[in-house]
Amino acid sequence: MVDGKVLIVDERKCTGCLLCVIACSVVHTGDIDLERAHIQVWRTDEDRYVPLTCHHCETPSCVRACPTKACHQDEATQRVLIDATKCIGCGTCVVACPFGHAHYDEVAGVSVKCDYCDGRVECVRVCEPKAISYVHSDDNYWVTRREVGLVKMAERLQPGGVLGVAVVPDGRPLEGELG
Amino acid sequence: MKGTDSRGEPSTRPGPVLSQDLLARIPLKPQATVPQRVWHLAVAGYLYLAAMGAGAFIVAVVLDWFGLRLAAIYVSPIGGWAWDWSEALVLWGPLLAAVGASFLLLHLGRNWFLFPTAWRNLRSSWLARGFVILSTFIIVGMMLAAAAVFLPHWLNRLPVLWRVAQAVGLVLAVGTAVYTSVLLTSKKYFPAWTEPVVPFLFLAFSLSTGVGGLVVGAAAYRALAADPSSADAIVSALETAMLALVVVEAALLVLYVRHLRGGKPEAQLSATMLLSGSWSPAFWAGIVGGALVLPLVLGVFDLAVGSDLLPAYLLPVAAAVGLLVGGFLLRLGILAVGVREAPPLYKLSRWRAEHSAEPNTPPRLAGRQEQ
Repeated sequence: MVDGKVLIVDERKCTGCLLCVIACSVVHTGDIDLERAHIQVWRTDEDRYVPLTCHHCETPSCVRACPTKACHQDEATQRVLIDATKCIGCGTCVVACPFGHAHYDEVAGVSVKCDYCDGRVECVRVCEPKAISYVHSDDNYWVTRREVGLVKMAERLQPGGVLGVAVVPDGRPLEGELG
Repeated sequence: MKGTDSRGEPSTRPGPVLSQDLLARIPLKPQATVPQRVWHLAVAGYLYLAAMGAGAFIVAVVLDWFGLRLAAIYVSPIGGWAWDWSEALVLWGPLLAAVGASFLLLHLGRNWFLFPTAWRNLRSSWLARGFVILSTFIIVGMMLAAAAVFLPHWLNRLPVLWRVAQAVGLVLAVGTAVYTSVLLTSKKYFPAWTEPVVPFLFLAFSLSTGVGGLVVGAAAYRALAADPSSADAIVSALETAMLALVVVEAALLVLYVRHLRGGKPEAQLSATMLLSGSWSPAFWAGIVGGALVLPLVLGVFDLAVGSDLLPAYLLPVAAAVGLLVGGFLLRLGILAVGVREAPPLYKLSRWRAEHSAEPNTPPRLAGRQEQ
């Protein structure tokens, strides 16, 4: 189970301003180099913007694919992390990720991904529209996430429906809280 | 405050205004429609040379078991005993694989020197398994090649031991060929890589490029040896094997392209890139022309009509070169057109954008579409 907090995204509020990407870049590289930021922003076919962070999957493909175990799941928090001192930069985690989140940092020479910055999530602090939030997850995070996904599927199929999957600690849909 | 979105168009949603120069640095393309760029030239070279080396070793050992071997060339630069260089021309697969492994080192990042730790996740990582299989194949194969060169008379005295050693090398070579064939298939979010036919296509090409490498080796033997007649039987057998493999490869390639064109949207995009897009010259001229048509035409001509008027081995070597070039382009091409499957939310967005005028139309599922 994911312990502590999780990043969640409400794509309806994202303006595509890239402030989160800039902040992430500054925190992790000391410079504004957007391609090295750990968070990315996608534009969908509906011209919506979706900040993409690591989902910290329950069964992470990147962890399974990593030959050196540099990419690993933290036993205490269940977060998926990359140990830069062990990463050989083979890029197998990058091609293994179903979301295309992990990427290879050419300057650092290692693969990088969102690690929640040990709780000091700068992307959340700078997001003016509050599209990204850092909230407590409950013990049934994964179960609830699946249930919410199924329940909301019908709504999402309608034009204008919510893309993001998000829950609050008691399992209620997040959009109700933020809306 | 009213802002602008990342395309510079007015947005009705609140947000900060950033300089257009800064925004222009990141085109917010849907990542799902962009081919991956992480594994490219160096990885293609690594997989190609490892597969070719394994294929060459497999074919060389099988030829030896059928009694087809080159006559000895004894040249001893140092020492008083005979060094037989003929075996080096057919057992050079492990050396090729070692060169290929160096391509992987070029691809690695800052901690490249930690590559010996790449065996730690054997339980689930194909790259880790491949590291072990390939390393063992290189070491064992090079030991066998070295024994064949430096200790030829010992091998004649210990035929059973030599056969067992060859069998061990053969198993490792098969493992290497299989590994280089299934590595891409294990990355299950790239439809162009996960087609079921891909491992068989790569396996066939590892054998055929191995055959091509041996033809070149036999031609080199002919240039070096005083009595080159022993190479004729080997080249003749290799030509026949090449023809058979090319026919199999052509069938597998047609099957692969058909599956791509009828597959998921990302697979169709990969097929378009191969058939009529940026990779079409490499596909048609390099893969189809060089690796399939050229060996087929030259091989049939050589076997049916003969090439007495041409320099010896000209046609087989030309066919082998086409095969070797085409084999590399196949690896590189399939890597380069790999487009990651769109995540579920992205598919949903795509579907809604396409069906916004028809809200009651059922969603198009991401599975294989009907022809």
